[in-house]
Amino acid sequence: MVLNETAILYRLLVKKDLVVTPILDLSQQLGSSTLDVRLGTRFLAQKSSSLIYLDPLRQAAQIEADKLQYEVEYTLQSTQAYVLHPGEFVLASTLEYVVIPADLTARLDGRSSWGRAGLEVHATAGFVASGFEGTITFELKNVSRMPIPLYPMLRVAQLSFYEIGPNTRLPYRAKASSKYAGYLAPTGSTFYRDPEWDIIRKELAAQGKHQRSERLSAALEARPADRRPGESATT
Amino acid sequence: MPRPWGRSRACAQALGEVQRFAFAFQKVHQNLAFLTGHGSHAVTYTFVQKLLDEARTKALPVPDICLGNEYDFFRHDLRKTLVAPLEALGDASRLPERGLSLLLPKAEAGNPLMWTMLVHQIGHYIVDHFKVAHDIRADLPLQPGMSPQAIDALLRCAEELAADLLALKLAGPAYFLSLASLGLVFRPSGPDGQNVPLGLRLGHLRRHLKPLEALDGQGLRRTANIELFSSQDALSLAERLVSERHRLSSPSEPSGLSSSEQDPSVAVESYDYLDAIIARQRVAPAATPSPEDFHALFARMCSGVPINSFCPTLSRETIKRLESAATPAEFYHLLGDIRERPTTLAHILLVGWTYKLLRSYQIFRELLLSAATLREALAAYAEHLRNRQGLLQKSIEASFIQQTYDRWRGEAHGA
Repeated sequence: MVLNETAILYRLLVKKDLVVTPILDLSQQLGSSTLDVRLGTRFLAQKSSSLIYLDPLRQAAQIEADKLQYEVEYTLQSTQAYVLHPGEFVLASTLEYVVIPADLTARLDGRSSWGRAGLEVHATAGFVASGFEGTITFELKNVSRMPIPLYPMLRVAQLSFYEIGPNTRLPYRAKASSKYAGYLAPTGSTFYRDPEWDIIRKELAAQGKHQRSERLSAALEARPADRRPGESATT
Repeated sequence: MPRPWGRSRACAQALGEVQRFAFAFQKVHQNLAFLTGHGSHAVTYTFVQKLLDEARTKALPVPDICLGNEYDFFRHDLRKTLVAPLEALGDASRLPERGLSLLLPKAEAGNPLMWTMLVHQIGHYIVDHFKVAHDIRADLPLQPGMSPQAIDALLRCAEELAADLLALKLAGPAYFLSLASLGLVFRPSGPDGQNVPLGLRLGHLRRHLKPLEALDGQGLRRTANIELFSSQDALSLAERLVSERHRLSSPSEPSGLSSSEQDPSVAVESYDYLDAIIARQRVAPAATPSPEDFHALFARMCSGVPINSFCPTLSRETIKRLESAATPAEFYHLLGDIRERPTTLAHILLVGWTYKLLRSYQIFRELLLSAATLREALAAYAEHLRNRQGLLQKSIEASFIQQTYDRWRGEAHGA
């Protein structure tokens, strides 16, 4: 069952097991069954890189290092804008720190005003699990033909809350494989930490096919700029 | 000539240990990158803007902040430092006539607990530009027969203490804690290479720390770490340790004051006249937390939630009024009165420092005992530090945005 405005207020201000902070203006943010959330100050954008691609079959630590070549972080002051150009994608996070109790889940959706301006707030992941704690990551994309200036504090999205009956015994933060709990800034994907990749790695190794991946990795590291004149690339 | 540590050889040995430990700890921090990165100019600017907002003065400039490779918090205003060399080159016109350019060690760019040292330099700006230095000269307690050098040293000492008092006024008790912490590791150096004894500075500030003592009375004295800063005896010891440690490191260096003036127990009272001068300055004093607020915020930080505000509690009467609201307009009107109260910098920094003293050291000990390897323990501790700094940064940003919103909410209307 979706919580209405009174139930949301009760959980926030009386029972206090649902945390959304700061709420700058309840009378603006609370709707009939939603609570608006705002843009925070941190953005994580993607940039062009000399890497051909991010090889998920490398070791996690190596992938983390490779990722730095694709990512650039911005922290804005309250009156600075991040301008999202048509077709661009950027990660951001809520101003609010959110704690979802074990008997609730939440769903993130865009606000109508911003949807009409062509701003998408999440690509596919709008579900917030029971037991989640942290800032919620926005996957912002401008699908319009006009640049959109984004300032911290803007209400770009809204949360709705759903009761899931008895408390879950698997709150998100307690789950061993949870990857995005407790973060205070937008967090890039760590899909390569899913155990499936390790299974693929092991299977490839068993079949002797891992060498291809290793050769590719070596080729990525031997960039043209590093080669001596006359030396050819080996791939 | 009697040695400064002449009273006790054991004391000298203990001080040597403290010094070695402090430097080793600092080195470990730097090698493990505990102190690097994860900061941004934007958050540091938000810090100083929030500070100036809370001081409620338009006269103070927003400082430029330059990140430096040196680990030196005690360097004066960079602008002042650059004036002479640029004038010698005939190129001083590039500098603005007024303004404040502060140096922040890169290693602490992400650590708001040490940004309080920037506030001390803002204090120096107030001393220089708000006639504080003039007032100090007028009230300087001169003794008959004092040499010009002694008068100059007395003046420099008074200005340093005035900047300390202003920093304490602006940032609250956290300034004292950061100064004491830094003083155990580094020897502050003034622009001319001469020092004001840190023991004197801490001793002078301590008299203004009643809010901290009130908090101490609520049960925070249980650990040795907080006792160092709150118990009278332990605090005196800490001040003397810091003072002696600096004398040990450079016993031959002149300090600019006579030995009797270096003794904090003698000298502190002779600077009492500064209190009245600082009280006249039109900067609002930091709003320190009540014991109840402090404990609520401390518990919240321990649970991993940013301490940007105090959550309102709905009274029974408000709940009844909400339930009986006849129209949506009436309901929303009632909601308008329910507000989170943003925390001040003094709240955030004091809770952050207490968290460091009560939790971080404890976590460090537990990790050392429980981790399989030292490297594993240190990696886990670095993660703890990053999280602590992240929580404090988030708290500063969110509370500043809320203050900005609250400032204009009565006048802002949807178009």
